[in-house]
Amino acid sequence: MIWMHWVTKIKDRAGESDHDDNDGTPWKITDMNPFNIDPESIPAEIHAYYSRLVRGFDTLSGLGDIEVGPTPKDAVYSEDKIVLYRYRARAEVLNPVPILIVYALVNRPYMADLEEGRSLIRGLLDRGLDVYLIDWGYPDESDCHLSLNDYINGYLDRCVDVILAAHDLDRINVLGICQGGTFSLCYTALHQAKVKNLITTVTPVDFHTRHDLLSHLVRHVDVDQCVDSMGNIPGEFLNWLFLMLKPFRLMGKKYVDLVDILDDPDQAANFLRMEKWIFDSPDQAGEAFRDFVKQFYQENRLVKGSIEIGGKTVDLEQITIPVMNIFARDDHIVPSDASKALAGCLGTEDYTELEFPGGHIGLYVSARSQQLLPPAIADWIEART
Amino acid sequence: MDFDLFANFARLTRSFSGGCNDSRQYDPIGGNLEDNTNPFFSPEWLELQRRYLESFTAKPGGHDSPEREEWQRALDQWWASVRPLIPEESKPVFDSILGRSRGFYSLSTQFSEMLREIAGAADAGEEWQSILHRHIKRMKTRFDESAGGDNSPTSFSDAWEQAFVPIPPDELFGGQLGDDLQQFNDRLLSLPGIGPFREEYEKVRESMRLWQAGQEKCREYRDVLSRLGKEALDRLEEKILQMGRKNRSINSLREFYDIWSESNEEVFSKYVESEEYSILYGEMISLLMEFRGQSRAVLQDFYKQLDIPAGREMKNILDSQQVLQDALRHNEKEQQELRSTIEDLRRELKQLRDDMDALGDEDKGSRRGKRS
Repeated sequence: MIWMHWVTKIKDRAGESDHDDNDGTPWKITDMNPFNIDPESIPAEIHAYYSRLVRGFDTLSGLGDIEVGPTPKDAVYSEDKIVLYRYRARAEVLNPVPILIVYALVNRPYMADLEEGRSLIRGLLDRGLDVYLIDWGYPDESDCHLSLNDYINGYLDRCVDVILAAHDLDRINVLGICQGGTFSLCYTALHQAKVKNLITTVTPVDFHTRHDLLSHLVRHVDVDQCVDSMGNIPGEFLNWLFLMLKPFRLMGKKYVDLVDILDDPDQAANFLRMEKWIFDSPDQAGEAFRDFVKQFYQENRLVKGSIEIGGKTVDLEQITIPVMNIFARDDHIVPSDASKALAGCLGTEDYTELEFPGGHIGLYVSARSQQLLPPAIADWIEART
Repeated sequence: MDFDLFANFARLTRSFSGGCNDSRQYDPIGGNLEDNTNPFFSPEWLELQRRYLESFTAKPGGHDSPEREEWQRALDQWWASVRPLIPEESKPVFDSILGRSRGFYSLSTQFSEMLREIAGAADAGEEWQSILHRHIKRMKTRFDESAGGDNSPTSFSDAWEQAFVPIPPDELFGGQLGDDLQQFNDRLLSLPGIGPFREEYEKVRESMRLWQAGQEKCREYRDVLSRLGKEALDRLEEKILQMGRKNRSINSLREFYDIWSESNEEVFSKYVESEEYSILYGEMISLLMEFRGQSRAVLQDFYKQLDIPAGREMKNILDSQQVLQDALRHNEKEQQELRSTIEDLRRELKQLRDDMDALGDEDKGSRRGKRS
């Protein structure tokens, strides 16, 4: 039964009630009653929801292991827990200068190669680029002393050296993702002679922009206390931090909405793949976390040119090579303003900015991005090789 | 084995559900609910659900009825029986889906009474806006009741938390925040290493102080969340009134849930940007971490008493390991540079030899030329 109800009763007081709603506008009794819900139908709706849930559980449990990172690759170098991968060519390699993808320490790098149809890496390979990627691995207690110096001037630099030696080159292209972009900026400022072109994607540069909720959350956290009491920072802790940025959507509504698509195994698999990535969150090496939160998030020293890594100051003005800065318009983790700040910090005269619609993750996994992002990067590099 | 569990549960629920009516009548999307190939399917559980739903439709306040308890219990049993069927890797996702769905369910039943009254507003000679306002006000009061220590499982704020989980997980902070003071105290003092010495006693006292401070801060955080929950209800009311003005309709419970979820998100997002939240959040995390650190120190003393190497000793070992690793890498780099220098020198030497040989050849050639 469709139930619609219009209130037509006119009150004595010129059609207005004596109740004011919250925006200060008095409601009128002639306003339509928006509830088009038959109370008798509520049990049926709830029952239908649970029926779908039960069927959906069957779909989900039948999906088996969820595969991620399908593009073939070879480990070409490893050290401690990090592994440097080289992806196998899918087309003729047109560009002699390889590109190294530097991912964040948070979450896992297969976000750039989530599945066949959603893979930045595959897109770059298809356009004739020779792609390398650093997998930082899963730090454990024995890694709690690793600092940003170890990551940037140590692991990252040695991976770059390995690639340079393998290709007998002086310089390679570097592509940073999120925190990996920040690392890439620091690395380029300190080792510019080894970098030909730099691409940063959804990379925080100014950590104190107005809508940077993550920065806002950690601003008053005693990070020394966190690291001293926990050693490494558990991945679950960071997960919770990220989910707290939009708790009602990311921890509530998302799962209720999911029930609507569970009949479709493909959509259910996509969901599980994303869930796997979201909760596949390595612990953070304590010292690196302390360094990063303090210097970048709390003191915002990158834009001030006063970051200290391994006793050296990171000055972005020293970067004079071509830089491409890509960000997402609706990014709630790294607001676009936080990325755009890079424009005013560099010394280069060859700076390109590219804004994509969508969010932080959508930049890598949305259907639209698959069409736009890899060619944009490949063309930009091609023009500078 | 897992299927046996399920079958046992099915038999169990059949025994107290008093037979099974045709539950398909409640499946408006047309699927066959009596799908015996689906191991998650339980006609008995659905039957209990149907009875419960009927109970709250039939009488006001039905959501606190015995049928609800019966249905909740059956749901718990059903979940305990089918959870083993789920692949290990996917269990957290399934838990989240079920948890949030339960939240949706609880909230839906909480809202049903309001919707029933609004549906009958015209007959009762009352404006729908007044009914809406009255119910929103009542829901806000329920938040207050909960903040005042009402731990009833059917309280509105519990349903709200169940639906959205905006609180920090206890296990991140050592899993002891759920204890009461006595439990925490007992746990600490039951450690064999805790003796009557002043120094140890001081550490225990400090742990207890931090535990209390942490609890207080968490309570403050929860109170703020309750306040936001109430503000979200105001926002919800505002949105619905606006929909009335704009002749837009809400066609299902899910749509209503979505609007409410959106209201919560909007209110929360605005608050998250405030300095007040930043400070509160920072203080809460820092306090909980301090408590965790102090608890760790007490435990380490306990291990020390038993001559078991603990965190401090491990840290010293790891410190030394790190120093050695750095030295090793430094040496490796130096060696590499030396090797590279040697290689350069070798090349240079070879070049010199080649040059000398070439000069020698030239010299010989010129001598031969002179002789000839």
